[in-house]
Amino acid sequence: MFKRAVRRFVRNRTAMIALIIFVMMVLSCFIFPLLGYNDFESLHLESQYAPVSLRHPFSTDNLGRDLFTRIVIGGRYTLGLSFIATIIAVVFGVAIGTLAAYKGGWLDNFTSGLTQAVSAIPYVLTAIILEVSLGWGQGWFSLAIALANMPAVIQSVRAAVLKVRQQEFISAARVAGKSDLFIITKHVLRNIYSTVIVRFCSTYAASIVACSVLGYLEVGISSPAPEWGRMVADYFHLIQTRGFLVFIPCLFISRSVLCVTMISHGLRDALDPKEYQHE
Amino acid sequence: MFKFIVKRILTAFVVLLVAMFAVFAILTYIPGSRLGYLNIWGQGDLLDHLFTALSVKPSLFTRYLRYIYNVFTTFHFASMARHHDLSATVLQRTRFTLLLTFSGFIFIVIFGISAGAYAAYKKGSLFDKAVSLLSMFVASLPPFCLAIYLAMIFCLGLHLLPVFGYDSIKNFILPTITIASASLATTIQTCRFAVIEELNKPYIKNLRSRGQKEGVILFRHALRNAVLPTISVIREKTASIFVSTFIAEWFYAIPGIGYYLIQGINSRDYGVIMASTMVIAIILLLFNIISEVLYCVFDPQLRSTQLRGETDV
Amino acid sequence: MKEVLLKVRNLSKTFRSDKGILKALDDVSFDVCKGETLGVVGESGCGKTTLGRCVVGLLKPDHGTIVFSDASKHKQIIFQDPYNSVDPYWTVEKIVCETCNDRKKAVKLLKEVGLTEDEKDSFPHELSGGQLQRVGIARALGGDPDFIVCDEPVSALDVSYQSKIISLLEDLQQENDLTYLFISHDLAVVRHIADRIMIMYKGQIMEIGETSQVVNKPAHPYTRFLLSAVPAPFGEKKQFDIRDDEVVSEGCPFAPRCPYRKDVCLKNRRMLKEIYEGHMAACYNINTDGGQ
Repeated sequence: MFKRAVRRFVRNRTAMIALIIFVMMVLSCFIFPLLGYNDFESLHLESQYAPVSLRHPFSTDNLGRDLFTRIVIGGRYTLGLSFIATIIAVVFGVAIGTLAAYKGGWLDNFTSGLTQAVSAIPYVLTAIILEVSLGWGQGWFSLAIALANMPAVIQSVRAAVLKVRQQEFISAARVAGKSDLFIITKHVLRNIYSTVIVRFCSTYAASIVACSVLGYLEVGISSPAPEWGRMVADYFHLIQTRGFLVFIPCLFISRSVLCVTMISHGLRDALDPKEYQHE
Repeated sequence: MFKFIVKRILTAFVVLLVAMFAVFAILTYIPGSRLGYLNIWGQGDLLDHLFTALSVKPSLFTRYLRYIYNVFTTFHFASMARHHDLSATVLQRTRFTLLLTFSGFIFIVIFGISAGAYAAYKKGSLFDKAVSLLSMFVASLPPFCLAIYLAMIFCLGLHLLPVFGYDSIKNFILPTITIASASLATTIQTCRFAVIEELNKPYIKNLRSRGQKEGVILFRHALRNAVLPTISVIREKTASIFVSTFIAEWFYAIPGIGYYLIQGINSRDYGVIMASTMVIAIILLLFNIISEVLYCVFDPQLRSTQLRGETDV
Repeated sequence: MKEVLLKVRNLSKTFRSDKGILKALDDVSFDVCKGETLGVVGESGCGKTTLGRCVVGLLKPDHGTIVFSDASKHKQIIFQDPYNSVDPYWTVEKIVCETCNDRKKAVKLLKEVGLTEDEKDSFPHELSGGQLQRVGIARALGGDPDFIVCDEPVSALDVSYQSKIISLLEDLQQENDLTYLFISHDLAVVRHIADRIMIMYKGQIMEIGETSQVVNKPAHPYTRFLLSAVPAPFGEKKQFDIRDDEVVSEGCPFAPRCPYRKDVCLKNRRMLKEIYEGHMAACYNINTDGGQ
């Protein structure tokens, strides 16, 4: 079954191209710094806007810093922090959503009330409050991103678990005397894994957007850090004369978000359990 | 209905007070707070002694109550950096934010529903595919990226629209698109799906067989039933629309309340943070109440499900 | 008299939701003897599935007791929808192992219910509904039960397959000395397999007795209504007009639809009254009109 899903994903050309591009982007964020592209902050005012060369593939910025290095290191910030946020959101979201839907009753009501309340707060506000209260610039805003994405994860996991819980094989396991823990781990989670995987991807896309937005607004990430959104804001005053400085980080944000979105669409098409029944 | 509205407003008021207290408490205890400034020079103990000796150190709660009392009786927001009343500034800035959000919502409703309905009507056509692809592309961009692309195309490239400023209608076109972008795709898709579902229902076939005009079928029957799910999706997107508004304000340098908040944070002006957070919270809560009331008024489904529920058992 | 395996007394279960209160079971009492098949018949929503679920312990009743005799070992259940009742991500062998925890025994059971050994590694989506129902039966047998609740086990299957599953269930009952509580909305199916039949309507027992008695000499108007819905072997058909307008809380639940309704039917509920030995019905008309 899993093999068939993988095969279907590989056959999906858009999703595969997106996956390859994205993997290459992630790899380059970790390989190029090892090859010497790791100085993103020292100033070389003499080499402002250097011509494009192997040393400066994307030229240099107004302070003589290599743009390529900044992009590559910035990818670690944007993609890495949003990945952490995604993991937090998905792990907690799946745990809370599964428990709430499986147990039902007041726990379920409480959770859905709480998720509604949380999803009504703009995440920029949450991030500001967290950063201000727990210490500025220490990455707490990724918690805000996780918190902002959690309601969507909880809601979709909850819906999926409610669907599974109604199925008779859960009753059969209960008649066979299996514990709730066994039923949740072996039956319920096994049955919602496609939802979780697809959700993980779409949450990742949303997290990258949120991370770059917070960087752009200078919430939690301050200037020398080459987070992509922060770079856009840093170079924004040069948009009329040196447009590429704004355009390139912008392009990287859009490209990574688009890639992850395409991958999540491809996964959804490949894993959709409805497809199984037609075969 | 009146009772319902009053109840909602009272709850919202309580929520507002609690939320503001949380913000107030956080701002008081974080490093760099008003009292904390004195601590920098190692005078914290002295300060405590001073307060205890004079027995005037007010508790957090009483200070909060005093703040709230001031705000609600005299409409006076204290600022830290500028030592003057912020209320005029806050009011002026709120106007811009409301204007922006409102135009964003209008854009989403009008464009989202019409494009979604037309795409559903021409299901599988080039228009349908183009709309779904474009809206997905736009939705997956961070708002400021879209804003930059828009600025590059329409201002630097075509010289059609201005980027900055806020005195003519032209200035608000790009911000509106930026605000609408994130929620537009979901709106279009929901509306498209709802219209397709509605068009597949038997009563539409019946209307067609009676020779009813397609336009009448689409607008008077299918769309009318598809509008409600669409509106409820837009309602869920309220928070993200406000985030987009802040970004649009920041990007296009429109002095709205979100811009003000970010300014306040960057200059650590807690009066500004308190005032703008409060205004944003009030706007959000008011918006929730209005949309909930509207939803109850216009939703025939809500009434009919209650009726159906009774006969079911 | 045979040994009593299951004693159910004054069982009540009420579901509350936003839509209102639903009395799924209302003061239900009956016995099941060892080795027999008790058929439970009623239209959808009459509480028969709730009854089955209460008996195997999936639901907790609000009132009343369910007592199994000391000799009873295990109870199991077979579900209506075969596609729904197996985990789509588990192999057939693993599904059966869930109850018996023994691979060899699982394979043996699969053979017993008429599946081949090749099918033990297949996933549910590769099997047909009838085969899946056999898997469900094997899983129930894996728990080594002496009492099985069959909750509409054939109503989701093709007509051609129904009789095969019914005869499989009958064979298994012979071999393993099983007791069945056979739930169905279809009186035509139940009359073939059941030793005794219990007719339910809106959570209450309307009539209970030997199959031949209930089918040939129905005492309750509702039973006769159900029998008229069964394709009658002698071509005799009688239609009752249905008026479902009045809601009854205290009286007989069937009264609004009953053609022989008296005033007392709307006010009071008649308890089960014995007509013959072991044949009981709850109706005020029994003495004048029923029984025949």
